[in-house]
Amino acid sequence: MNEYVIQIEGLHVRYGKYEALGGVDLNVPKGSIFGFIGRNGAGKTTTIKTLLGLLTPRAGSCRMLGLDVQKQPLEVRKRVGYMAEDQQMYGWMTVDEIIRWVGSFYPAWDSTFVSHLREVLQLDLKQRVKNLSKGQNSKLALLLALGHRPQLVILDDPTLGLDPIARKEFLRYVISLLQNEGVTVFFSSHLLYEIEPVADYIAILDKGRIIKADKTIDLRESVRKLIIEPNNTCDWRQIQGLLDVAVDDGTRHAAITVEDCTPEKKVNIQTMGKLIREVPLNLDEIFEAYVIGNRGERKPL
Amino acid sequence: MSPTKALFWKEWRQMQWRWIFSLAMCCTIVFVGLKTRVLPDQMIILFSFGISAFLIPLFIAMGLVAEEREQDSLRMQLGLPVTARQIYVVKMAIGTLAVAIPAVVCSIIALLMAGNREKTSVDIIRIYGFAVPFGIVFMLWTVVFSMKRKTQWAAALTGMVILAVWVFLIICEDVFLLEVGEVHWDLSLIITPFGFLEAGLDKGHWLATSIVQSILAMILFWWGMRRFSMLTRSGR
Repeated sequence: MNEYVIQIEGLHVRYGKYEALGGVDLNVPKGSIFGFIGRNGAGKTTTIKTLLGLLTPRAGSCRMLGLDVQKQPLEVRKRVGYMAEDQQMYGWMTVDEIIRWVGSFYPAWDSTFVSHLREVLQLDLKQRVKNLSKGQNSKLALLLALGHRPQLVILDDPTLGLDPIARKEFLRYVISLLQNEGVTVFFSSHLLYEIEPVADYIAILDKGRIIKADKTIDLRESVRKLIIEPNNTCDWRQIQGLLDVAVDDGTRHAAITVEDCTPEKKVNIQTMGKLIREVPLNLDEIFEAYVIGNRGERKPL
Repeated sequence: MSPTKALFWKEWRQMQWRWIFSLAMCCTIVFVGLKTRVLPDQMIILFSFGISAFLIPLFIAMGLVAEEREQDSLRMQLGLPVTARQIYVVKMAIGTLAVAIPAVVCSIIALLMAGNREKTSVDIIRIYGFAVPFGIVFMLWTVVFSMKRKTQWAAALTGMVILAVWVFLIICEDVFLLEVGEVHWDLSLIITPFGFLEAGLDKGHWLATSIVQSILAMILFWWGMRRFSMLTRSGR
């Protein structure tokens, strides 16, 4: 049995002359909650669309649940639950109609489970989709994505457009539901505080490339911010795995963010200045360091 | 419900208001016009024929792809285990029905109310009979060439440009005249679907129009399917 439900190798996707993905490699372990993060336009949705066989890559391969996405896109879509970002559904259908309509495309549609889910999510069968609130719309999209009991659920920015409270409630519900079902969740978002408490693994996508993929706990442990008082002769570029440097011209203290912050690396850094303190980072700060870190150019704190 | 039935159901329901509106408008004109006889039968029939052949296909074409692109609802359908080709074929099938139904119903009403009154029943059948293939071809051209348009109005504009080009070709009739023996063939009436409307044409001319238009329609349908698949896979 394959331990990865998603395997991506050297994926390149272009929109005309614009290269949206420039060689993405990614493995998603079975049963995990995998956070796929990146800024707007980083290529998250493009990756997901390619995974579902909705886009043709220029090069590279994708396998989902052991199936080649390009050769068997329909089989893949039958087994995967997909909730698109800001999903526009057919407003003229009633909730009941859209549930029955979507269900007819899936041989494994579980009507009993869907009825249960609909009651829990408090969706009125007679209401027209166009009259649903944003929150109810997201709940309906989630129900439609889960109705066939998929082994893998892909959520593409599922809380886009929801207010903070609705977002929290939605995520709490989704994660508790899916964790109990033992489903693998591939969860894309640019809101890191959404992903941080729930994801087992994180991949950071920037400008069409994966710049970091690791277990969330390891990522938090390995990336550190060190506040040091630097020597006059120090050269930041000599630090391996340097992500960001910020120098306070007033105190002359430098805050340097490094990945894989091992004791040896700390000793090496201490040759460049006096270590004042070590600060753990949250995912937001880690993401910022990876994506917009200056890699050795001075900037004020 | 099977996936194919589900696709048909969705398209039919989505287009329902369009074809019901078209049907109601066309039938009302025929019924009221022929009942009150405010105008000669010929005028009423030609007027409803114009609506069936030109306006309704344009109206239906606007709703097939452009409406979904405008509302961004195609993404949802493509996320389901169904191919873009299946979606396209069903859309065109429903479009064809939606174009044909008003013309057929109008012809029945006209036959019942005014058959052999001022015009013969055969003439009435012929007029509406010509509206159906013309309308279907016009709808097909509009859908295929407006595939990349993101609003319904842009799609309608594309349809009107197509119609204008056809009319221009007809106006340039002399350029397209071909003499085969003693018969004068107007090629503009063969390469445009206006040949369907030329009741005065000889059978050979009408047959040539039908064959050329059928081949063009098949090529266009296939090209449209490719364009639709590429459009949905381009991510734009």
